[in-house]
Amino acid sequence: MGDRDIHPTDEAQAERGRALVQAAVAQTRAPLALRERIENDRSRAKPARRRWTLGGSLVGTVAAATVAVVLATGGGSAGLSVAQAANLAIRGPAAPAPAVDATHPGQLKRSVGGVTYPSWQDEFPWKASGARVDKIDDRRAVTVFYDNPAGERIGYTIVDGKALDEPSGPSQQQGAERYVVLRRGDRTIVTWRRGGHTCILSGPSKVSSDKLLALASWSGTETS
Amino acid sequence: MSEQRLLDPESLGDHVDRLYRAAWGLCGSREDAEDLVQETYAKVLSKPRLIRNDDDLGYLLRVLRNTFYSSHRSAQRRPQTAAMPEDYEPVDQRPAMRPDEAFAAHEVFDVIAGLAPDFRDALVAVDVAGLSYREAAKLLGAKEATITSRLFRARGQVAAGMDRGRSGVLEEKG
Repeated sequence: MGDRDIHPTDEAQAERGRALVQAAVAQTRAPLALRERIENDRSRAKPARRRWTLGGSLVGTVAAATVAVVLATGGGSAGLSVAQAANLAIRGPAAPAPAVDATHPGQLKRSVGGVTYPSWQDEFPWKASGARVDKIDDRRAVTVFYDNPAGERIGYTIVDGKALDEPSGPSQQQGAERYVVLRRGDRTIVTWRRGGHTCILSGPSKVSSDKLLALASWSGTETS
Repeated sequence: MSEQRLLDPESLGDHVDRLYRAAWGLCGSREDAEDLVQETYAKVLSKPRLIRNDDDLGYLLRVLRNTFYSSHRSAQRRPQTAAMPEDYEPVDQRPAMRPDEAFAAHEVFDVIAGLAPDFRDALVAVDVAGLSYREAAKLLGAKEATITSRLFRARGQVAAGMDRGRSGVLEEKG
């Protein structure tokens, strides 16, 4: 049907369609999570805020520059880098959150390569709120998002397959695992290896590195 | 010749709502709309942008539409999202509207996304994003009279599509 075939008798229906669209538009606003992601992107686009620095009490200018280079280049080897994987947490959920495992209340019903996502809600004010699965550079990366009552959101990404190159620089040993704490723009990031896979916890800078470390090293979940 | 200026990244946040609605109208999915808007902003922010006059929104909509056609219609280039297992719980519980209203809005955007591209684009540009007929004509490379005609027909199809429910609107080739 061509553009010229408009019938005046359809005017009432067109007006009703216009009103329906107008009502839908009036009801719809961009989700908070999207606004946060765009704001994060915008902040990172500022040259002065684009470099990586160390988080928490480990701050040091020279060391920060070292980590910046390492993360930007993926540790000197080809393929997916921790920096790329950490960015997935900014994109926000694309699927519902996994349910809590009723038989293991400290775990969610979701794992990657045998590493199970934790359910922190009985110990910490963080509840699983969504998930997304991405494939970048032929590597599957699953991110589970957790929200706290203050509306802050963190992302826990596990990259399937062989562990990624670990960023060099100061780290914190807790038990058998070594945690590297970094800051990128207004994001705080903790990365470590578990079950041979790279795990990354990423949150807004309002969430301290100490809190992320406490969550990352929480022993309520086990490798299945 | 039109005056040119650099696009101010600080002001881009003012257009998020309009872009999100436009993206939802194009994609028919809230999740895809979020990804499309974020991708649009990432492209715009990747380097300084020269634009004409005060047409920030028109410029952003052009990038959004180009991004939609170049990447979001190609399944291979989309992030691969997992299917939802049956034991999953509901996702983000922070809708900005009441459930009944959310359902109605969702239905309307579903119908809009199902329109033939020419009609959909005209309706998204004018009724959803809020461009003038002239701005929409410039964005879509069509005459204002053509935009008027397509818009009229698209509105009628939205009403008919809502009457028919989720089966949506039969595509008409413009």
